[in-house]
Amino acid sequence: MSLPPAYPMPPRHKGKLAINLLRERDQLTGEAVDQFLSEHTVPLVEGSRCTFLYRGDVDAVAVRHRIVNQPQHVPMKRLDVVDGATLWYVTIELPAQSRVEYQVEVRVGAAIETFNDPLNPHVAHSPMGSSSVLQAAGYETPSWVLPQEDARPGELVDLQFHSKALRRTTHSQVYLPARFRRSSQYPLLVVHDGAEYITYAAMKTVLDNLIHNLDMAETIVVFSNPGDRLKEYPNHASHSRHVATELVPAVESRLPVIPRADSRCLMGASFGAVAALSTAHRNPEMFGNLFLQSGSFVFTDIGSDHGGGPAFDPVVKFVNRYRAKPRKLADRMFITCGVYEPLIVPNRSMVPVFESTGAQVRYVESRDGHSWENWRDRLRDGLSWIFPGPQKLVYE
Amino acid sequence: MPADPASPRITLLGPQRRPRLKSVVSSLGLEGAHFTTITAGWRDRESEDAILVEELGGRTTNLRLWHLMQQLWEVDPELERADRERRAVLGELQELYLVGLEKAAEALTRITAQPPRHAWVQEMAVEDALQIMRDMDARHVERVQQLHHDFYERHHPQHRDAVVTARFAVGRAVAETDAVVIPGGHVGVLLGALHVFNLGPALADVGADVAKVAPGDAAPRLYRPIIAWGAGAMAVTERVLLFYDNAVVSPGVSEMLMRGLGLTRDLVALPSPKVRLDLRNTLRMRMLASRVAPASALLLDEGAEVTLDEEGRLPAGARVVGADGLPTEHRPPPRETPSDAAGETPTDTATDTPTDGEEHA
Repeated sequence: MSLPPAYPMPPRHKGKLAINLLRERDQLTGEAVDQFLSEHTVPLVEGSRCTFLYRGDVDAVAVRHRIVNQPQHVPMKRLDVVDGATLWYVTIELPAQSRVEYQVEVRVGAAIETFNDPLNPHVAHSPMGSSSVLQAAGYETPSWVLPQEDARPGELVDLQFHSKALRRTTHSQVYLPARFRRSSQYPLLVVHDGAEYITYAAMKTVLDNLIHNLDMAETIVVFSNPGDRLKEYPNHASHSRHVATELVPAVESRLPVIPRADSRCLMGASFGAVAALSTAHRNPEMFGNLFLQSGSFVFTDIGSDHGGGPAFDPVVKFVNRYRAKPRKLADRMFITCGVYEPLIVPNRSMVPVFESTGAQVRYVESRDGHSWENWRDRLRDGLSWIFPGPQKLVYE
Repeated sequence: MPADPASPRITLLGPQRRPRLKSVVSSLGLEGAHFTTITAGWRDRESEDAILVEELGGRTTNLRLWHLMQQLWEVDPELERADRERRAVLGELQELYLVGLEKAAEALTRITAQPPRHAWVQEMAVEDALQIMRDMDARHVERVQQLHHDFYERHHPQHRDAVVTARFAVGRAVAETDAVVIPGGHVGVLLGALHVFNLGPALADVGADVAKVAPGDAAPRLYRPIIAWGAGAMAVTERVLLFYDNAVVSPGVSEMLMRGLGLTRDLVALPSPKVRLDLRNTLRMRMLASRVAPASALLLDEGAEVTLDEEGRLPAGARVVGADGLPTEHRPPPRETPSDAAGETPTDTATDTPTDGEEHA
């Protein structure tokens, strides 16, 4: 089942934009700009309109954002300052609850440099590096991604062993929920790019909170990590063998996990989602659940020219083959994607393909990009759907 | 109202996050009483009852049913395996029943979303959908009951040494106290523990061979007063309805879980409704009220204190969900005489299949 996004209207901004009030001054002084910047957070968000700023004596400035299907190079206009560095600005309109990643591109002569916005402290991380992030009107950091005082913390323990399949020592961390008991049995979630999920998506905190709030079942979570990510994740037989015949059995032999497909879930973002999908593909009926975030499910309908570079070659081959002959890879699939990322098209295209196999598919879009914060913000929806907590059974 | 020792009552409370149990105990005239406490719904935190003990004045005996149950599974792994299998089947039953309910609820939403060309036609369609849901509810509760019955028939937990010993100890412990307190927690675990240790006959005169209860029949006579809230309040009623409108992944529709102990009549307990229910959505609330009818959906919010009458029924003025979906004050229906009720279909009771006084969990 796919869920249509239910977005609120952005709050209306009454009156003139702050930047326009500043422009109306007869002579703009450096002191006035200093004061303006100290009074506002940048970018300025006024209703649906967002104003980007840059200060510096350069030849041209532009915002480079990553909203797919929009001009991604947005030139800024200059505002001369009588006794200080030039102020550059541009205002764009963004829908409510958007999070947009961007950088500032500066040209001096022929030299062009792109970097994170020096006036904006918010930074988003993705597998491709960091970028500045704009939180448009209506966006709020969910409370459940922040540490909650009363939530009992789970424990992270190291799991290291030599993988014959991968011919390397694998380093994972295993999350044991608070009040873990060996006499109980737990579902098992295997997360690709585990360290990044913990570091950039606050996943341990999220697990602590969701389990504490009874939104999610007490679950054992393996945060696995790749060696060579671009080799191991795009439909790599050795990776799949490692997960199915080494990692899961190792966890099952050490910890009380429920040894059933419906209690197992593979999860990943971007190439990690491809790794999760292809591992399920190579091991039929082993994993009953998949949680795929912004999967790099690039495919071609005609020919093989996908434009994604060599790293995507095995992905395209795998996805094309799967699309030609789809079969059920898991009973339940939770899929998320940001509408501003280029992968929105392949993700939307894959949903009906997965649904055609009889899998129960829940697909959620957000006004967000290809970043860990987007994936973090969708964790509650996905995890509480995959392994729901006992909320409906607990009455205080 | 002080408790009448000759006519013990059930008192249902709202959530006790900010405990007001002390004043309830006082108002019921139970100060200084020796209380049985049943905190199995708290599961592994069952013993963390210091606040509860203090609120009750210090004289308490916690039955520690959850702990006893763990011990039981350890000494009788065969029974533990059988019980685990039973729970797996229960889970599947619940899951598939919910799939059907969701479809019926979706139909209701679609029917009511259409501007009616003839209001009476739409009303008939609404009633049809609600009847389907009521039928599904009734069938589900019966199937669950049958599953429990089969489990007892096949595995005879009531005749196993460990269970017999534990039941005896639990029964004796309850008999030595003046009143029983059942707080909230996990309603499934709580009910499971209450059934395994056969608390029904320890709390009330459920009878040895009561096959069915006719409409108008009183609830079993209690041996001692009961104070309950949250899952505890749900567990003492006839049917347990699960509800949570605000879940991240909401089932979208309330669902019957199973029968409760059946110590009340004609009520379904809804603890913490302001937190758990979309009370402003009158369609949803109307649907809920209609599904549980003729029982009343009792709203047990913060501060609620409802002492049932001696027949286990709601008193006038208790806050319930009205037929129109709005909170309202309960008005007891005119009472039927026994002759009026003759020939009617029997209603639910938790004591419909005992063979030897056992509660068929």
